[in-house]
Amino acid sequence: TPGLAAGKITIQVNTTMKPGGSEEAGIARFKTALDELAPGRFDVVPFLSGQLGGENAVLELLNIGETQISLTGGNWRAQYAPEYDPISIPFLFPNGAAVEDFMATDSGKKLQERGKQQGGIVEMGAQMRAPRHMTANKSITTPDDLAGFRLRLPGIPVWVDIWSALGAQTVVVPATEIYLAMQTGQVDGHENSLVSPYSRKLYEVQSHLIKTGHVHFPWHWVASETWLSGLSDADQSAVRAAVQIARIEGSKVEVEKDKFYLAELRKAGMTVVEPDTAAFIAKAKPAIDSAMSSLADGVVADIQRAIFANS
Amino acid sequence: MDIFLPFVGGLIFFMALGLPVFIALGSTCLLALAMTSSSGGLPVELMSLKITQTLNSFPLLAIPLFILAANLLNRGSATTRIFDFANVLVGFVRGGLGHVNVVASMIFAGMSGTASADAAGLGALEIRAMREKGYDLKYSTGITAASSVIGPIIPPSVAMLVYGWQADVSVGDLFLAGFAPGILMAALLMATTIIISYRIDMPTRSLPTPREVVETGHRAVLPMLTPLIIVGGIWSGVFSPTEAGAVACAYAIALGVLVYRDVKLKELFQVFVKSMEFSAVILLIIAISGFYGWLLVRLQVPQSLAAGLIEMNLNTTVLLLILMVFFILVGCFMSVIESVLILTPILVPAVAASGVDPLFFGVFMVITLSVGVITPPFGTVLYILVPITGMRFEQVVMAVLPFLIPILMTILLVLFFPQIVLILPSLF
Amino acid sequence: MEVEFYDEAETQLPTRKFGTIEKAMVAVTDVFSGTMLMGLVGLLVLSILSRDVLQVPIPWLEEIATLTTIYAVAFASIGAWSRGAHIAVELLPMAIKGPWHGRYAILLQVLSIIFLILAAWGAAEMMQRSANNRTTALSLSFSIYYGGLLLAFGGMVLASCLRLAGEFTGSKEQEE
Ligand code: NA
Ligand code: NA
Repeated sequence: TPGLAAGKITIQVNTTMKPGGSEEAGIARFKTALDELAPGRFDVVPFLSGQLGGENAVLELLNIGETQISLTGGNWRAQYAPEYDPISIPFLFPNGAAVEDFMATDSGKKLQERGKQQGGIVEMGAQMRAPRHMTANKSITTPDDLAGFRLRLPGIPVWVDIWSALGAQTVVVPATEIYLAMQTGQVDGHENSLVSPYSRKLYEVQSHLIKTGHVHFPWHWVASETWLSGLSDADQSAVRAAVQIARIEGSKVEVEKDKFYLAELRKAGMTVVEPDTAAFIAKAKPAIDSAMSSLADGVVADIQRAIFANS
Repeated sequence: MDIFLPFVGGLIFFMALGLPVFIALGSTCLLALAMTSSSGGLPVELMSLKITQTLNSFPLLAIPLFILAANLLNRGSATTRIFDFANVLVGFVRGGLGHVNVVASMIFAGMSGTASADAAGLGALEIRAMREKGYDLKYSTGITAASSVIGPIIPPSVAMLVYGWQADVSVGDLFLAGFAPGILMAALLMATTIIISYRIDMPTRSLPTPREVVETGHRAVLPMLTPLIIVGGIWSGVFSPTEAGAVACAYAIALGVLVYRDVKLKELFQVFVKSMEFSAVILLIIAISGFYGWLLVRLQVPQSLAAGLIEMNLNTTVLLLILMVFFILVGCFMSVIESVLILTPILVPAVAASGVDPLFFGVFMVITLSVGVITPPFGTVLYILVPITGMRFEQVVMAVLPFLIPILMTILLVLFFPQIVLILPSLF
Repeated sequence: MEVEFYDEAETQLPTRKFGTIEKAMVAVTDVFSGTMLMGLVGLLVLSILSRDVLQVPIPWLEEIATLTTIYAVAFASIGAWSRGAHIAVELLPMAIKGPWHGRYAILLQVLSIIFLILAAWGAAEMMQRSANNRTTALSLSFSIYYGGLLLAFGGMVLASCLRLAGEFTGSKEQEE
């Protein structure tokens, strides 16, 4: 193997995202940071576009120690610690900073602990992603405009619940078929960060961008516990320090990219709509409350503290 | 590339021993894993992890569904109805049943996803009919084999489904892109038939009466609607490509059990069992190929191969010509689906970087690899035709050989005129 | 291979000792695999109807459909194993003639069993290690998925062992 030959420690870093985004930038920074911190000690091999597997697949690989690091989304929170995961609830956190603050609370620490116990992964820090918005072929300003709207969603139960409560009809479509589904009218719209409509050329089949900003979903830099605990203390701290540098760089690039995508989507003719977010939150409130009711004791207080500090 | 040795050498060795393909593939993987494992041990759990992850995929469900649909149609009278109608349509043209053979396969291609489904069902019927009418058995065998290659090109196509899923290309677009090359191949096979008809005796039938056209057409109209339902349903957004497989099955069951009443419920269950058995054989190979490909990716073999190809900075046409020869060679030894599974992640990034449209490349790759179903030593259609024709294996091979010319011509035309592939998807 | 299977006589299972057990096992797996494929068609038709006609999409149908497929593959591959339907390149086994033909077949069985045991072991291992990994919509533990794999490989090992046992105990059961 290329990495083993020189006696270096090979670190595979996984992401499901394609090259060219803030994820690749973060991983590239991780590589240079490690080279500065421990020259010649590590060999960082990026695996972009989910080359070694999708979100769930890589979590399993980390668990059995067959890959080392991943920028993972929210699946681990839902699988290992649903009662400590308010981050997945749409229309709850107002911005990414609140999510980062939440991760630092006691509840956030419990979440990390569960990840280690249940899934054999060590959470080392969050890299922020741009907020998720909606695309559509009409202007949507209030939840009333969503009546009968066929919205493509990943099959995450709390997302389905809340969007259904808002009046949308949720449809599960594989990511590769989104464009076709919009073209044929199987779905009326979808929701994601702006990189999705930009890279999938959805502006060809969608006219409006609705800035709902309903989810602030970070990437978590996670490592396989089996692998990480096998490293020397010095190596472990080098890896952790490099992650801190990388995630800050990645978050910064993401902000720049998000601005770029917005400008490009405007140029491509999409109409940008600022919806009445308060109306959405009000209508989704019962569904949000019901999702919050299944959280563990103390989590709600930690959420409120994190939100208060960032509004 | 010494890392490549256990992968290729091991596979050839274990397959040559005569082990079932999935075991040969799996043993190769374990060998390669033992030689490259970073932990030093043999993490056997990794194999079951990758097998399960490969099988746990919604788009993959289309494979058993389309296999079932084809078997359901073969079980009832749908195949006979199509053949009769094709006979009335083109049986009077110089070359007679030769054309009928091609046209029937073209229509059947719109319902089945593999070449072997065409050869096993329709092929048996075609050879029987041609033998009764005094056609040269060698010719009949050749045209039957060659026309079965149209099966995976005209949608639906299991190989293209697998490609789309692996390469992130819309299956709807791929299906649409397959129509024109499939029809082109049929046209060239019919032209070949006309040329051959000057050398051997090929009785034709009389000109059809309008009444005959209407009657046989009426009898065949419902089975012939299957491709329209499949492609139309996908394109109008009523169902996804995977769901289309279930719709095709439901439609075939409705035809056989309710409309034509020539499939008994008891037989129906046997068709389910046998279709699932065949699907399991294919899916198990696919699942372990998934592990094989994954190990290669983890060792960065495809990545460096792709980088090497880009560095060579070849002209697109030269690159595609090299790949054409490569695919035909690979096709001789591996099944279309296996090859697509293993080669797609290796090649698509490389050819995309040198400016080839991944949509075009998918169709090009599937057509070229499909030639393998009629080439020795492992061509499945050849093996199917041995018991049907009663000829020996090498006789079947010789009978098929001349028909490689029109098929290769189709591939070259597609290579030099990619518009043939791209025009239909670009219209929608 | 998808050869016209209806016109051909079914491949005869060995009528040696233990052949009856193998036959019974395959009869059961056939019922399961056929029923599951039927269920799969039904599930997907239901998914289209629920979405397009009733306008009530069911987001978890996809997970049930893939799980059904894994178990259908498991049951069907046992049947295929017993009937020798798994594709193999048989040039070498066919080329070996005389008494060695049978001995070589036994060697291949033994090699296959070794592989299948390793595969089954891996599946059992993953059943434990992925117990906390869950699907998105229904929160099903991945152990259930690995259980299908264990079933497939375990079933094939069992079928092979029955056949080998019959081979070595030698005595044929009374035919008919
Ligand atoms: Na087809
Ligand atoms: Na034909």
